[in-house]
Amino acid sequence: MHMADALLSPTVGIGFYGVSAAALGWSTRQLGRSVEPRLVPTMGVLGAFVFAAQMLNFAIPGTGSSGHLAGGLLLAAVLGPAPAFLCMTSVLLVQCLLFGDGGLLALGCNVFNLGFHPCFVGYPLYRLVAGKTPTPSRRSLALGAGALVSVELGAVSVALETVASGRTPIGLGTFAALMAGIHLPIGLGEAVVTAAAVALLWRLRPEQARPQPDAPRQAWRRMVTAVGLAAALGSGVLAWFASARPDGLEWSLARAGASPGAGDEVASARAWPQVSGRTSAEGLGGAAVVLLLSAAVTLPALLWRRRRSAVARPIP
Amino acid sequence: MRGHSPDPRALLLGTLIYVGFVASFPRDALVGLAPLALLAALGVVLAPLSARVLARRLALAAPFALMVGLGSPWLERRPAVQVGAWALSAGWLGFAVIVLKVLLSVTAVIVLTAWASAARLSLGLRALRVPTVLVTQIVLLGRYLDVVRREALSMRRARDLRSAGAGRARQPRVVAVMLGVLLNRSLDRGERIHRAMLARGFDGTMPALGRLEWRLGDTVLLAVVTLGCVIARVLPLAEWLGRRLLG
Repeated sequence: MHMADALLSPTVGIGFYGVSAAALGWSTRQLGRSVEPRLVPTMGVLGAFVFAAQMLNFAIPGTGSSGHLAGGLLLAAVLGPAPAFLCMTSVLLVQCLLFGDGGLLALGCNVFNLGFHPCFVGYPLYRLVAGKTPTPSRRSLALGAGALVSVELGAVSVALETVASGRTPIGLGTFAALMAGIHLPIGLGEAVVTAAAVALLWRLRPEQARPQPDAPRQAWRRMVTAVGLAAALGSGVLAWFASARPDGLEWSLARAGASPGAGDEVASARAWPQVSGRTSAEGLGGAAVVLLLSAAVTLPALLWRRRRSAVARPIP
Repeated sequence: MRGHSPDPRALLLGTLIYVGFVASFPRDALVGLAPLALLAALGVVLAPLSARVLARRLALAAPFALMVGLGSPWLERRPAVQVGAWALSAGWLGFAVIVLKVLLSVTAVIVLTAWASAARLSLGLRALRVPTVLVTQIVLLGRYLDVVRREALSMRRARDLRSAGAGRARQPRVVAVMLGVLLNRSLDRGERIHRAMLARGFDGTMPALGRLEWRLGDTVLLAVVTLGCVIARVLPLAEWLGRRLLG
C-alpha cells in the first residue's frame, strides 16, 4: 500500500509533506508537553516492533493471499495518538531510507496514508465507539472499526494522490473503488489482529492497554486548524499549478469528463513546450540511445564492483 | 573508495531535488525524462553499491507502481508515435514512463543510502532541522531493529515447528496472539532499556556522535545534480540527439 514516487507529481508530494509536517509538529509539541520520559525508548522499541511484526504474515480472510500488520492503530491504542504518529513517521522514514520501500518524494503521502489516518481518524473513532468504560467485546469492536476505517482511508488516499498527480488515466471513482475493494479483506485482517493483540495486552498489562489520557480539547482544535491550513495551502498551490499547467489535475478531470483527449492537447501545447510536446520517432530514438548509454555505464561498474568487493569490501 | 563520503545533507537534498524533477515530467514525456537516467547512472558509478542491493530494492518497490501503470495501455489505445510501420500507443508510452520513473527514483534513494551510513544520515536529518524527537526515535529504532526482529523470527520458527505446516498456523487470531506477546516483550524491553539509559545519564535526546563538514565536493555534487536536472527539464536533449543521429 506504499505510495510510489513514480505515481506522484512534485506538487502533490510537497503538499502532503506539508500536511504531514503540520501533524508532526503538533505531535512533537504534544509530546514535549506531557513529558513522560519513559516513552522515548519505548517508542523506539515499538518502532522496531512494527518492523518485526511485518515478518509475521497472516492469511487474509476470504482470499488466498497473506498480509501483515500496518500497525498504526495498534500503536495509537498502546501509546496514544501523538507518540504513535511519531513512531509511524520514524518507521516510514527508515523504510524509505534504509529499505527503499516507498519513495523519498512519496514520504509525506505515506506518512499521511499510514500514520495520520490511524492516529488521528482511526484512534478518535475507536475512543468514540468504545465509550467511557467499554466491555471487552465493545472495545474489540471499536478497535476493529478504527483499524478497518484507517486502512480503507489509506487505500482511498493512494488513489486520490495518484489521480491528483495526473499520473494515470484511470478515473478517480474507479481507482478509489478498486483500492477500497482490494483493501477490504486486508482491513478486516488488520481489524481482527489489532483487536486480538490489544485484548491480550490488556490481560498482560492493563495499565498499558488502557486508552492514554487525551490531549486537551484546545490542543486538538489547534491540530485540526494546522492540518486544515496545510491542506488548504496544499490544495491552493495544487489548484494554482493545475491552472498554470493543465497536465496534472485538469488533465484527469478532462479525461473523466465529457471531452476525452482535449486535456492532452492543451497539456502538450502549453506545459513545458520543448520536452513534453508530441513524442516523435526521432525523440524516441534519442531517448533509446541515452538509456542504452546509461545502462552501458552502469552495468560494468556494478559487475566490476561485485568482483572487487569479493576481495575487499569497500567501507561506505 | 574515496577517503570520505559526501555530506549527508548534500545527499539528502540532492536526492530530493532529483526525485522531484523525475516526478515533474508529465505522463507522456518519455523522451524528456530519458536524459535524467545519465545522472542516476553517474550516482551508481560513484556510490559504493552492489548489483544485488539494487535488484532487491527494485523488486520490493516496483510492483505497485507497475500494476497501476498497467492501467494505461488498457485505457489509452490511440497511437502516439509512428515508428516506421509500428505504432506505439499512448498507453504503452505512459507505461514506459512509469517504468523509467520507478527505476530512476528507486535508484536515487539507493545511491543515497549506499553513500551515507544510517548514523550519518541521522546527523544530516538533525542538521536539516528535522525534530530532535524524531531523529532520536530513528536512532533508537535502528538500534533495536535487529533485537526485536530476532525475537519475531524465533517466535515464527517456534510456531512453524509446533504446527508442522498445518493450515491454522497463519490464521489472523494465531498471529494476533503472537503479536500481542511480541508487543508485551517489546514494552518490557523498552522499560529495561530506559533504565539502562538513565543509568548512563540519558536526558531525553541522543548525543550527536560525529560532526558534519561541508566540503567543496559537496557543493559540486549538489550543483551537478541541480544543474543537470534543470537542463534536462528545459532542454529537449534526447530530441536533439535523435535528430542528429536519425534525422
